[in-house]
Amino acid sequence: MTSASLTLKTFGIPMQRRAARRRLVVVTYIVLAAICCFTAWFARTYTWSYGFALYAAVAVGIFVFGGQGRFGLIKAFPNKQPRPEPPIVDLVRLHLAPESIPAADSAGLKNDERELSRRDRAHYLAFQPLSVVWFLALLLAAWALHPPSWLPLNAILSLLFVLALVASILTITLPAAIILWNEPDMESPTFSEGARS
Amino acid sequence: MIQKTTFLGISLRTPAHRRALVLTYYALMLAILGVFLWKQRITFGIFIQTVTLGGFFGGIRSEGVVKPYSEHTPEPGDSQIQQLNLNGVFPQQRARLLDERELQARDRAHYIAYRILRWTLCCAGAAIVFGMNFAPTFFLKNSPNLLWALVIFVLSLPQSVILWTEPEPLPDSTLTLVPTT
Repeated sequence: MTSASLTLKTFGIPMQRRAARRRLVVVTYIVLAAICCFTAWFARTYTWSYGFALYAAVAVGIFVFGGQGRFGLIKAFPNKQPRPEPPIVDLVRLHLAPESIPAADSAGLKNDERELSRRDRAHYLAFQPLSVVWFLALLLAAWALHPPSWLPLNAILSLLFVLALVASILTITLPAAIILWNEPDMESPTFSEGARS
Repeated sequence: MIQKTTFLGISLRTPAHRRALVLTYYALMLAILGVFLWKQRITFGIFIQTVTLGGFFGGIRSEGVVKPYSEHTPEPGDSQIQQLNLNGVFPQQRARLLDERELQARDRAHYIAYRILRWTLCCAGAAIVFGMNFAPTFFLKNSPNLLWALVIFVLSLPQSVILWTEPEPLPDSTLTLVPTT
């Protein structure tokens, strides 16, 4: 399921091992949680900052986890051939990095049957917690209409805002995170070359 | 994936009928949302309504048109145990569990539902930004009603996708036995 850019590195760290990918998922969600808290705190004064956490989640979805396009660790979920690059790109690549021309072949960007099944399964698994989070948001919203005496209304509304942010972030990133979490260890290219020789 | 061929007296044999049912369901949900927005009242009873209406087509409930999503993971030597019925699973219960093709259909439906949900949330986000700028009072007052609609949509979407995309079953005449020599 991992992307055919096949570098399998994020921030220079190899991601062939499942443990490394799990660490990446945990660290990413800790960072996103911190951004969520920051956004919730900052948005009380500056309302334009509502989108910070969402922008971060979109960036993680596209550039770190993948599944949305050419970038990231996971191949694009919509199983379509990517748009061809203009010829000038190949020309520049030929001059700057001729060894990257075979790697740029887009044939490996499509998912095979096993990968499609894994993608669908990850979306099924992601759908369950997502439904629960949106249900909790509904509970809080109804609670906000009849707030209890021991809890101020502002606290409920802030909690509702944070929950809506969390639900949105999970919607964007969760299926890819599940795939990265579950995918077993991959064969390292250097290791396989050594074994062949 | 579909366990009933009729629902509330409506035949569900053809995709056209199933699609009509899905469209009617969402039209009904929109009408209920309209009533909620008009009355501007929401109570805790709404949670029971949410689960009942969200699971109207089954899937998340055991009763409904769509089979429950719960999985059956075969154990070693399962086929023999199955025949002897030693594990207490009765044939009618086993018939309701999903086979491999149905599991694939279920996962695929969730993938499609997830993609639809993403675009819906994008539109909802844009609507919230627009609404908070132009009609903040209406939006804050009705946020539980709007969230209720969203939760109903989230809960019912995979089942609707299954009903919408399930192909027509083969006519009985094509299932004739061919004698072998």
